[in-house]
Amino acid sequence: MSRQQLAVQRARKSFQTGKTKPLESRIHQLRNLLRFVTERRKDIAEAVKKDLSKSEHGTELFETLGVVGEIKLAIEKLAEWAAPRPVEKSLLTISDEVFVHPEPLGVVLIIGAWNYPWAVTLQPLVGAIAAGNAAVIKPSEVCCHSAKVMEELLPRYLDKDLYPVVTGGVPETQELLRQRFDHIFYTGSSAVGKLVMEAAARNLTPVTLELGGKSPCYIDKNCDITVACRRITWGKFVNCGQTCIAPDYVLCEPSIQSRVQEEIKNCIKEFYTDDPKTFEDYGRIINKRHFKRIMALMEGSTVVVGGDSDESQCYIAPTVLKNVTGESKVMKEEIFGPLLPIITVSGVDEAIQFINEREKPLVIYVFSNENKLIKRVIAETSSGALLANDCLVHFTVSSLPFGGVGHSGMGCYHGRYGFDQLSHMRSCLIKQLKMEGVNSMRYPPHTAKKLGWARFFLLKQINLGRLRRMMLLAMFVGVASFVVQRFLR
Amino acid sequence: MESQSQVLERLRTAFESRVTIPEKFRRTQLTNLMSMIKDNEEQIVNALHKDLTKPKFEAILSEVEIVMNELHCALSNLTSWMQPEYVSKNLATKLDECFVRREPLGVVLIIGPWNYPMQLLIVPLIGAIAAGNCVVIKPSEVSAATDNLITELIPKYLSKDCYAVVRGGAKETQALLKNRFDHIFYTGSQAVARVVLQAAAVHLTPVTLELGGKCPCLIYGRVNATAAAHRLVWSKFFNAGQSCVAPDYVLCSKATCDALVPALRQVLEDFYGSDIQKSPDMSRIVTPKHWTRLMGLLNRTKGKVVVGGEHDEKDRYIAPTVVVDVTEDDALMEEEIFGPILPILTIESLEESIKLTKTKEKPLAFYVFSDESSVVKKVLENSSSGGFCSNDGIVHMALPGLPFGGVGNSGFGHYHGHWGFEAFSHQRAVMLRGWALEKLNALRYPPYSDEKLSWLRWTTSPKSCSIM
Repeated sequence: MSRQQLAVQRARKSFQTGKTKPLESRIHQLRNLLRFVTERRKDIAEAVKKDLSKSEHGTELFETLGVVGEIKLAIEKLAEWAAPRPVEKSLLTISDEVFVHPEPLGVVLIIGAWNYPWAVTLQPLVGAIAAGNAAVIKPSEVCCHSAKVMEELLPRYLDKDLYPVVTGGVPETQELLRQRFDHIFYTGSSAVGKLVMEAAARNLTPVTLELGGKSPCYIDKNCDITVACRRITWGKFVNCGQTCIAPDYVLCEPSIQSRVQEEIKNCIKEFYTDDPKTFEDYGRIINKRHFKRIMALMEGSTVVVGGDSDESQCYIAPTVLKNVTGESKVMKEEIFGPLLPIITVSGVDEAIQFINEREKPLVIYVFSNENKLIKRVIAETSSGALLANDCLVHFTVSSLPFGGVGHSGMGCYHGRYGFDQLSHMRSCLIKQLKMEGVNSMRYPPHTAKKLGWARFFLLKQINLGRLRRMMLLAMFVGVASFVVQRFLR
Repeated sequence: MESQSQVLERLRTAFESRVTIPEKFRRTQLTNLMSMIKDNEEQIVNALHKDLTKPKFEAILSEVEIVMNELHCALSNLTSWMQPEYVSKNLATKLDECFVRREPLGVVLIIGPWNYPMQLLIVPLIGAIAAGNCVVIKPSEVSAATDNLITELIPKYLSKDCYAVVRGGAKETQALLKNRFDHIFYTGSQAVARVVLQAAAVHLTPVTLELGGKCPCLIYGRVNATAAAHRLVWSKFFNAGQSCVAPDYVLCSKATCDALVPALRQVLEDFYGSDIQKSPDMSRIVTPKHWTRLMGLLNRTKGKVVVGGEHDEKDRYIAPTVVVDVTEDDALMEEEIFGPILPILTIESLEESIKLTKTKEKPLAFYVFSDESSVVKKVLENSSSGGFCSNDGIVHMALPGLPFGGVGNSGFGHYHGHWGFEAFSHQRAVMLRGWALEKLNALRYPPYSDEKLSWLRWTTSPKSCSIM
């Protein structure tokens, strides 16, 4: 039996004992996860530094802060999320119990990505644990140091059988995907997303796919261009552009293009100094393969800011490109690197058209003072999310669903959405065996009279709220008329 | 005649023209759909009778009324369903507008089955229309008369640009699946579901699968055998057992079985008379192929037929049949029966029964009959299934408030009522920030520092709002 098969089997056996059912045990595991993230802060930061040259602060800001927030929210809200959810009744089921019962799915597979190795692996895990599942955790092998730390240290905090960490490359992942899971949660590229979905098809396993795409960023000439460029610069060059929701490219009118370039240039200098290469808070490309890929994308475009690189360090300077069109190399795939192309369009009409000619992205950014324009972009485009006048921060609002649409993915998570995504919402109708007389209208032999009654009674929905209000009103009228008659004659 | 790709192109052009977005358009289409059902009730009943010998009562209840109910639900609630949902924020985002918008997915495909060919095609269609999509409708060719009727009626009542019926068998369906859709809604078997999922993976198309399974029916503790027998017979033999949520098999003690069998026999006579084949209230098996399949199971069973067993090949008739002394490895326990045969397995303890159901795939529905609430609770807490109903069968799926769908081998995703609207929508997160408080943003810009970090920890925590 392979290592992967064993891990899945143990997780399933452990799940079947029912130990994840009680909310206290789930909260216990969540608290342990919280302890892991806080106690092992240094180990995590060191690993991320080796993987992505991210500074310690950067790691806390972009990786662990979010995880801590999610864990605390889940602990606080678990009782509410896991409680049976009552539902509107029909006339005939008025005396029955009708509710939706959130239940665990079973054994979930979580495949993490390398760009935020902790955030995108542990945040889905929070949802999985909260929903009462066992989870096999497969960190990306590309961020090998983080994967190693996860493999070594996580089992010291979480139940080893319920939440095994399984490391490995492509063959190991393929072996894992041959096993049967009750849900697969994958973060990564659209290309691999298709393979995951195909593998899941064999066992009819539902999937959540958090993919990517080219997230456009439209800058309207009517906006605070200075502030807009600050926010865009920040959003773009965090983690060296290796963020699924990074603004991939900018669309703006020719009249503001030079201003935009200038502002971004100034911001880069302000954030990352004159020499980002030596600056602690500027990262590196994950590996040589991606380094070469990103460098090749510059072909055919003009560098106006940055452009320098150092292969030995996988360093690429924060770079802005111009003379870019829809056909340029840099527009053929998701950049996932520190290159910011600026494409000129005649206005919001052309911008919307440009966006709609392409696959639905994970997020669309629009910067404008005009609400009407923003509303137009919302109404006439489609994307996982839309954020106006800033970048990235929608990720931090746990009451917003985080997910894609079309090629940018399916399903969503964060907060309650993560819990719901990894639960089965079971419909429950609890009836009694009495009042059998009422049922006779549905039994054969069927007559026209029975049919008439059945049509009326059996399926009609009632608005309990309205019924109650009407009854209250009737009562009030009754009491009022009584009072009038008795006392006011 | 239009080719499949021409149909799809037409629908996609219509969707891109944004004609399905306004509420008024969706309301008009739903209202027209309502007229379609109302105006053609007789033809619908006749078609269903032709396909399945479905009694008029069953057709009205399970194919007409249930659809009308869903239409009423959609029309009454469409406005509120379409509203943006405002969400709670943290301190850092307090001044921003954060909401979730329900948006149509695009061009969706609905593949219907043959057992409730109207309901299981039109109810998903209601959700898809309400959510603002264009729809390709693929009725089952097995229920041929209904297929013909739907093909004739849909273009008469619904916008031809936005909704199209595509017909055919396995070959045409496979060709259809090669195209790119924004969602595929499939009701049917596990085998075909795998094919659908694999085709969907090529385009990263999300899918809803409404499949089946062996729905167990446990009868334990104190039980009013007569009432239980009535409800069990009704839900089992409705549509001659050809329901995805029909109780497939019964688990009970010997004593219960001994009390149940005569009750079942009596109820069957009360419902259908002494010559059931002559009763107008009993359906037939949909095709000779399925009839042969069911007779095969009956011939191979090692159990004892105590009620029914009569059959007529020419009429595709199988009498409501009860088989006792059935064991776990019997032919009747191999696959979903989907016919009027009720095996009873005698298992003395409730715990053993629950254990047995856990060895099987998760079914679409799970039933328990008992007057003891502790028995009901125990079964609910120790089982997993799409839906759960105590002391009755099927009826839980008639409530639009409850999500109707499976888990594990019985499928994923769900619909009915609001859930149908959600199934065909994209929940888009929208956040509108202002320009003010840029100073606050400085906390997140490099160079990073411990001080900045501790402020950020506070302002982005969900709890920080409760202070305000």
